[in-house]
Amino acid sequence: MVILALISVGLLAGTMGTLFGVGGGILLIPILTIVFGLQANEAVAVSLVGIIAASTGAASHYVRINLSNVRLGLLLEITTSIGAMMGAAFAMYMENWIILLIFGLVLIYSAVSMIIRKEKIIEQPDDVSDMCFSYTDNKDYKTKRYEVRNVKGGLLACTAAGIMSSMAGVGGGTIKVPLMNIYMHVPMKVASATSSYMMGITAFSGAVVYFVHGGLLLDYASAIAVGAFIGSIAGTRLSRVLNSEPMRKYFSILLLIISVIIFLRMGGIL
Amino acid sequence: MNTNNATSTSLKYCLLVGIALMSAGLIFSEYDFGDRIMWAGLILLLGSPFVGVIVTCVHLMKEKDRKWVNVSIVLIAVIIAGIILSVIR
Repeated sequence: MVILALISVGLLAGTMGTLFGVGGGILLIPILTIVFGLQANEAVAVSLVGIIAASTGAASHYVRINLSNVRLGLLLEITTSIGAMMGAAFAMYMENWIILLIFGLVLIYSAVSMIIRKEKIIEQPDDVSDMCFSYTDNKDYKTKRYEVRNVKGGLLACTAAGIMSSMAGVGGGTIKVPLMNIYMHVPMKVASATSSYMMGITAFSGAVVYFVHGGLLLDYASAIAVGAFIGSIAGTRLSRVLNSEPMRKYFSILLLIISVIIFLRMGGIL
Repeated sequence: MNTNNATSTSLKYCLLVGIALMSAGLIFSEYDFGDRIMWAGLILLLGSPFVGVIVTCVHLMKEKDRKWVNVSIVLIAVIIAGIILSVIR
Protein backbone atom coordinates (compact mmCIF):
# COMPACT_ATOMS: atom_id res chain seq x y z
CA MET A 1 0.00 0.00 0.00
CA VAL A 2 2.82 2.41 0.94
CA ILE A 3 4.60 1.53 -2.30
CA LEU A 4 1.47 2.31 -4.35
CA ALA A 5 1.04 5.63 -2.51
CA LEU A 6 4.69 6.50 -3.20
CA ILE A 7 4.27 5.65 -6.90
CA SER A 8 1.23 8.01 -7.01
CA VAL A 9 3.22 10.81 -5.35
CA GLY A 10 6.05 10.27 -7.83
CA LEU A 11 3.53 10.34 -10.68
CA LEU A 12 2.15 13.72 -9.56
CA ALA A 13 5.60 15.26 -9.04
CA GLY A 14 6.88 13.81 -12.34
CA THR A 15 3.96 15.22 -14.34
CA MET A 16 4.21 18.70 -12.78
CA GLY A 17 7.99 18.73 -12.99
CA THR A 18 8.04 17.71 -16.66
CA LEU A 19 5.34 20.15 -17.67
CA PHE A 20 7.02 23.17 -16.10
CA GLY A 21 10.70 22.19 -16.10
CA VAL A 22 10.97 22.12 -12.32
CA GLY A 23 12.41 19.23 -10.37
CA GLY A 24 9.39 18.36 -8.29
CA GLY A 25 11.48 18.39 -5.08
CA ILE A 26 9.40 21.25 -3.72
CA LEU A 27 6.40 18.88 -3.82
CA LEU A 28 8.20 15.66 -2.92
CA ILE A 29 10.10 16.87 0.15
CA PRO A 30 7.08 18.20 2.14
CA ILE A 31 4.96 15.14 1.21
CA LEU A 32 7.69 12.66 2.12
CA THR A 33 8.42 14.35 5.45
CA ILE A 34 4.85 15.18 6.52
CA VAL A 35 2.82 12.26 5.10
CA PHE A 36 5.42 9.47 5.10
CA GLY A 37 7.35 10.62 8.19
CA LEU A 38 10.81 10.60 6.59
CA GLN A 39 13.69 12.64 8.05
CA ALA A 40 14.57 15.73 5.97
CA ASN A 41 17.86 14.25 4.68
CA GLU A 42 16.12 10.95 3.77
CA ALA A 43 13.40 12.89 1.92
CA VAL A 44 16.00 14.95 0.01
CA ALA A 45 17.84 11.77 -1.07
CA VAL A 46 14.64 10.03 -2.25
CA SER A 47 13.49 13.24 -3.95
CA LEU A 48 16.77 13.54 -5.89
CA VAL A 49 16.24 10.04 -7.34
CA GLY A 50 12.69 11.03 -8.33
CA ILE A 51 13.98 14.23 -9.95
CA ILE A 52 16.53 12.25 -11.99
CA ALA A 53 13.85 9.78 -13.18
CA ALA A 54 11.38 12.52 -14.18
CA SER A 55 13.88 14.91 -15.73
CA THR A 56 15.76 12.20 -17.65
CA GLY A 57 12.49 10.73 -18.92
CA ALA A 58 11.37 14.14 -20.12
CA ALA A 59 14.80 15.12 -21.46
CA SER A 60 15.14 11.95 -23.56
CA HIS A 61 11.95 13.00 -25.37
CA TYR A 62 12.59 16.76 -25.50
CA VAL A 63 16.21 16.34 -26.69
CA ARG A 64 15.13 13.95 -29.48
CA ILE A 65 12.54 16.42 -30.83
CA ASN A 66 15.05 19.29 -30.42
CA LEU A 67 12.95 21.14 -27.85
CA SER A 68 15.67 20.98 -25.19
CA ASN A 69 18.59 23.20 -26.10
CA VAL A 70 21.43 20.82 -25.15
CA ARG A 71 24.20 23.34 -25.85
CA LEU A 72 22.60 26.10 -23.78
CA GLY A 73 21.87 23.55 -21.04
CA LEU A 74 25.52 22.44 -20.90
CA LEU A 75 26.69 26.05 -20.72
CA LEU A 76 24.29 27.17 -18.00
CA GLU A 77 24.85 23.96 -16.03
CA ILE A 78 28.54 24.88 -15.52
CA THR A 79 27.76 27.96 -13.44
CA THR A 80 24.72 26.30 -11.84
CA SER A 81 26.97 23.47 -10.58
CA ILE A 82 29.60 25.93 -9.36
CA GLY A 83 26.84 27.88 -7.60
CA ALA A 84 25.52 24.68 -6.01
CA MET A 85 28.99 23.95 -4.61
CA MET A 86 29.26 27.53 -3.27
CA GLY A 87 25.77 27.26 -1.79
CA ALA A 88 26.65 24.08 0.08
CA ALA A 89 29.57 25.96 1.68
CA PHE A 90 27.57 29.16 2.40
CA ALA A 91 24.75 27.16 3.98
CA MET A 92 27.00 26.43 6.95
CA TYR A 93 27.32 30.13 7.79
CA MET A 94 23.88 31.55 6.97
CA GLU A 95 20.58 31.25 8.82
CA ASN A 96 18.09 29.04 6.97
CA TRP A 97 15.20 31.56 7.25
CA ILE A 98 17.23 34.24 5.43
CA ILE A 99 17.87 31.85 2.52
CA LEU A 100 14.19 30.85 2.37
CA LEU A 101 13.08 34.50 2.54
CA ILE A 102 15.33 35.50 -0.38
CA PHE A 103 14.21 32.45 -2.36
CA GLY A 104 10.52 33.13 -1.72
CA LEU A 105 10.89 36.78 -2.76
CA VAL A 106 12.74 35.80 -5.95
CA LEU A 107 9.91 33.41 -6.83
CA ILE A 108 7.24 36.07 -6.26
CA TYR A 109 9.20 38.55 -8.40
CA SER A 110 9.56 35.93 -11.18
CA ALA A 111 5.86 35.03 -11.04
CA VAL A 112 4.72 38.65 -11.18
CA SER A 113 7.17 39.42 -14.03
CA MET A 114 5.87 36.48 -16.05
CA ILE A 115 2.27 37.61 -15.57
CA ILE A 116 2.95 41.30 -16.34
CA ARG A 117 5.57 41.11 -19.09
CA LYS A 118 4.81 39.73 -22.52
CA GLU A 119 7.04 36.95 -23.84
CA LYS A 120 9.86 38.54 -25.85
CA ILE A 121 11.54 36.28 -28.39
CA ILE A 122 14.16 37.37 -30.94
CA GLU A 123 12.49 35.60 -33.88
CA GLN A 124 14.70 37.03 -36.62
CA PRO A 125 18.09 36.41 -35.13
CA ASP A 126 21.43 37.60 -36.37
CA ASP A 127 22.71 34.43 -38.13
CA VAL A 128 26.35 35.31 -37.38
CA SER A 129 25.77 34.73 -33.68
CA ASP A 130 26.50 31.21 -32.42
CA MET A 131 23.67 31.63 -29.94
CA CYS A 132 20.99 31.32 -32.66
CA PHE A 133 18.89 28.18 -32.38
CA SER A 134 15.65 26.74 -33.69
CA TYR A 135 13.03 24.32 -32.44
CA THR A 136 9.92 22.68 -33.81
CA ASP A 137 6.84 23.60 -31.84
CA ASN A 138 5.13 20.30 -30.96
CA LYS A 139 1.71 21.99 -31.14
CA ASP A 140 1.70 23.37 -34.70
CA TYR A 141 4.86 21.54 -35.99
CA LYS A 142 6.33 24.83 -37.27
CA THR A 143 10.08 25.43 -36.99
CA LYS A 144 10.71 28.59 -34.96
CA ARG A 145 14.01 30.41 -34.60
CA TYR A 146 15.24 32.35 -31.62
CA GLU A 147 18.39 34.02 -30.39
CA VAL A 148 19.64 33.65 -26.84
CA ARG A 149 20.57 37.06 -25.45
CA ASN A 150 22.29 38.25 -22.25
CA VAL A 151 24.39 35.08 -21.99
CA LYS A 152 26.97 36.51 -19.56
CA GLY A 153 24.27 37.86 -17.26
CA GLY A 154 22.42 34.55 -17.57
CA LEU A 155 25.54 32.64 -16.51
CA LEU A 156 25.92 34.88 -13.47
CA ALA A 157 22.25 34.50 -12.58
CA CYS A 158 22.58 30.71 -12.90
CA THR A 159 25.38 30.82 -10.32
CA ALA A 160 22.94 32.60 -8.00
CA ALA A 161 20.26 30.01 -8.89
CA GLY A 162 22.72 27.22 -8.02
CA ILE A 163 23.61 28.87 -4.70
CA MET A 164 19.97 29.43 -3.84
CA SER A 165 18.78 25.94 -4.80
CA SER A 166 21.61 24.26 -2.93
CA MET A 167 21.01 26.38 0.20
CA ALA A 168 17.23 26.02 0.14
CA GLY A 169 17.36 22.32 -0.81
CA VAL A 170 15.17 22.62 -3.91
CA GLY A 171 15.77 22.31 -7.64
CA GLY A 172 16.81 25.42 -9.56
CA GLY A 173 14.11 25.08 -12.23
CA THR A 174 11.87 27.59 -10.49
CA ILE A 175 14.60 30.20 -11.03
CA LYS A 176 16.14 28.96 -14.30
CA VAL A 177 12.91 28.78 -16.34
CA PRO A 178 11.86 32.42 -15.72
CA LEU A 179 15.49 33.50 -16.09
CA MET A 180 15.81 31.87 -19.53
CA ASN A 181 12.38 33.09 -20.60
CA ILE A 182 12.34 36.68 -19.30
CA TYR A 183 16.02 37.64 -19.32
CA MET A 184 17.57 35.48 -22.06
CA HIS A 185 14.55 35.53 -24.43
CA VAL A 186 14.34 31.75 -24.72
CA PRO A 187 10.79 30.62 -25.68
CA MET A 188 8.85 29.23 -22.69
CA LYS A 189 8.58 25.68 -24.07
CA VAL A 190 12.31 25.55 -24.84
CA ALA A 191 13.14 27.02 -21.41
CA SER A 192 11.07 24.34 -19.62
CA ALA A 193 12.50 21.53 -21.77
CA THR A 194 16.09 22.77 -21.33
CA SER A 195 15.54 23.08 -17.59
CA SER A 196 14.34 19.43 -17.49
CA TYR A 197 17.58 18.38 -19.21
CA MET A 198 19.70 20.42 -16.77
CA MET A 199 17.81 19.23 -13.71
CA GLY A 200 18.97 15.62 -14.08
CA ILE A 201 22.62 16.70 -14.26
CA THR A 202 22.27 18.89 -11.14
CA ALA A 203 20.45 16.15 -9.21
CA PHE A 204 23.05 13.55 -10.26
CA SER A 205 25.82 15.33 -8.33
CA GLY A 206 23.68 15.52 -5.19
CA ALA A 207 22.35 11.96 -5.43
CA VAL A 208 25.83 10.46 -5.84
CA VAL A 209 26.85 11.91 -2.46
CA TYR A 210 23.85 10.28 -0.73
CA PHE A 211 24.56 7.06 -2.62
CA VAL A 212 28.20 7.01 -1.48
CA HIS A 213 27.30 7.82 2.15
CA GLY A 214 24.49 5.23 2.16
CA GLY A 215 21.67 7.65 2.97
CA LEU A 216 19.22 6.30 0.40
CA LEU A 217 16.03 4.41 1.32
CA LEU A 218 16.09 1.94 -1.55
CA ASP A 219 12.44 0.86 -1.74
CA TYR A 220 11.14 4.42 -1.28
CA ALA A 221 13.53 5.74 -3.94
CA SER A 222 12.57 2.96 -6.37
CA ALA A 223 8.82 3.54 -5.95
CA ILE A 224 9.16 7.32 -6.35
CA ALA A 225 11.41 6.82 -9.41
CA VAL A 226 8.89 4.47 -11.10
CA GLY A 227 6.05 6.95 -10.46
CA ALA A 228 8.11 9.96 -11.57
CA PHE A 229 9.10 8.16 -14.79
CA ILE A 230 5.43 7.46 -15.65
CA GLY A 231 4.65 11.08 -14.72
CA SER A 232 7.34 12.33 -17.09
CA ILE A 233 5.65 10.47 -19.96
CA ALA A 234 2.30 12.03 -19.02
CA GLY A 235 3.93 15.48 -18.76
CA THR A 236 5.50 15.30 -22.21
CA ARG A 237 2.12 14.25 -23.69
CA LEU A 238 0.37 17.15 -21.93
CA SER A 239 2.96 19.69 -23.13
CA ARG A 240 2.00 18.86 -26.73
CA VAL A 241 -1.49 20.27 -26.30
CA LEU A 242 -0.53 23.38 -24.33
CA ASN A 243 0.34 26.76 -25.83
CA SER A 244 3.26 28.86 -24.54
CA GLU A 245 1.16 31.73 -23.21
CA PRO A 246 -1.12 29.69 -20.90
CA MET A 247 1.97 27.76 -19.78
CA ARG A 248 3.52 31.03 -18.57
CA LYS A 249 0.37 31.73 -16.56
CA TYR A 250 0.23 28.21 -15.07
CA PHE A 251 3.92 28.41 -14.26
CA SER A 252 3.44 31.77 -12.54
CA ILE A 253 0.65 30.27 -10.42
CA LEU A 254 2.93 27.33 -9.55
CA LEU A 255 5.67 29.78 -8.49
CA LEU A 256 3.24 31.64 -6.23
CA ILE A 257 2.08 28.35 -4.65
CA ILE A 258 5.71 27.33 -4.08
CA SER A 259 6.51 30.70 -2.49
CA VAL A 260 3.54 30.22 -0.11
CA ILE A 261 4.91 26.73 0.80
CA ILE A 262 8.32 28.32 1.44
CA PHE A 263 6.87 31.02 3.71
CA LEU A 264 4.86 28.35 5.58
CA ARG A 265 8.08 26.37 6.01
CA MET A 266 9.80 29.52 7.27
CA GLY A 267 7.05 29.99 9.83
CA GLY A 268 7.47 26.40 10.97
CA ILE A 269 3.95 25.46 9.84
CA LEU A 270 5.24 22.92 7.28
CA MET B 1 23.08 9.99 -35.78
CA ASN B 2 23.31 13.62 -34.68
CA THR B 3 24.19 14.89 -31.21
CA ASN B 4 20.59 15.27 -30.07
CA ASN B 5 19.58 11.77 -31.20
CA ALA B 6 22.67 10.19 -29.62
CA THR B 7 22.10 12.03 -26.33
CA SER B 8 18.41 11.15 -26.32
CA THR B 9 19.08 7.47 -27.07
CA SER B 10 21.68 7.15 -24.31
CA LEU B 11 19.34 8.84 -21.79
CA LYS B 12 16.41 6.70 -22.87
CA TYR B 13 18.10 3.30 -22.65
CA CYS B 14 19.94 3.98 -19.37
CA LEU B 15 16.68 5.18 -17.86
CA LEU B 16 14.47 2.39 -19.25
CA VAL B 17 16.79 -0.40 -18.09
CA GLY B 18 17.21 1.33 -14.70
CA ILE B 19 13.45 1.74 -14.19
CA ALA B 20 12.78 -1.86 -15.37
CA LEU B 21 15.30 -3.19 -12.83
CA MET B 22 13.89 -1.02 -10.05
CA SER B 23 10.34 -2.19 -10.85
CA ALA B 24 11.49 -5.83 -10.84
CA GLY B 25 13.28 -5.19 -7.55
CA LEU B 26 10.08 -3.78 -6.02
CA ILE B 27 8.08 -6.82 -7.20
CA PHE B 28 10.67 -9.23 -5.75
CA SER B 29 11.40 -7.13 -2.64
CA GLU B 30 10.31 -10.04 -0.41
CA TYR B 31 13.28 -12.06 -1.65
CA ASP B 32 16.99 -11.43 -0.97
CA PHE B 33 17.84 -10.75 -4.58
CA GLY B 34 15.14 -8.01 -4.81
CA ASP B 35 17.41 -5.45 -3.13
CA ARG B 36 20.34 -6.32 -5.40
CA ILE B 37 18.19 -5.81 -8.50
CA MET B 38 17.01 -2.44 -7.13
CA TRP B 39 20.60 -1.33 -6.43
CA ALA B 40 21.60 -2.22 -10.01
CA GLY B 41 18.63 -0.21 -11.32
CA LEU B 42 19.46 2.72 -9.06
CA ILE B 43 23.08 2.86 -10.25
CA LEU B 44 21.93 2.89 -13.89
CA LEU B 45 19.28 5.54 -13.20
CA LEU B 46 21.62 7.82 -11.26
CA GLY B 47 24.31 7.56 -13.91
CA SER B 48 22.05 8.30 -16.88
CA PRO B 49 22.32 12.16 -16.87
CA PHE B 50 26.12 11.97 -16.63
CA VAL B 51 26.26 9.34 -19.40
CA GLY B 52 24.15 11.76 -21.45
CA VAL B 53 26.70 14.57 -20.98
CA ILE B 54 29.59 12.27 -21.96
CA VAL B 55 27.74 11.05 -25.09
CA THR B 56 26.97 14.69 -26.03
CA CYS B 57 30.65 15.59 -25.58
CA VAL B 58 31.82 12.65 -27.76
CA HIS B 59 29.35 13.56 -30.51
CA LEU B 60 30.32 17.23 -30.42
CA MET B 61 33.93 16.07 -30.85
CA LYS B 62 32.89 14.07 -33.91
CA GLU B 63 31.13 17.15 -35.30
CA LYS B 64 34.30 19.19 -34.55
CA ASP B 65 32.20 21.75 -32.75
CA ARG B 66 35.17 23.01 -30.74
CA LYS B 67 33.41 25.69 -28.71
CA TRP B 68 30.74 23.32 -27.37
CA VAL B 69 33.26 20.48 -26.86
CA ASN B 70 35.15 22.83 -24.53
CA VAL B 71 31.93 23.73 -22.75
CA SER B 72 31.03 20.06 -22.19
CA ILE B 73 34.56 19.19 -20.99
CA VAL B 74 34.47 22.06 -18.48
CA LEU B 75 31.07 20.84 -17.28
CA ILE B 76 32.32 17.25 -16.84
CA ALA B 77 35.32 18.58 -14.87
CA VAL B 78 33.05 20.75 -12.67
CA ILE B 79 30.70 17.81 -11.96
CA ILE B 80 33.61 15.49 -11.03
CA ALA B 81 35.20 18.20 -8.85
CA GLY B 82 31.85 18.81 -7.15
CA ILE B 83 31.35 15.13 -6.36
CA ILE B 84 34.92 14.75 -5.02
CA LEU B 85 34.54 17.86 -2.82
CA SER B 86 31.15 16.69 -1.49
CA VAL B 87 32.37 13.18 -0.71
CA ILE B 88 35.48 14.54 1.07
CA ARG B 89 33.37 16.98 3.10
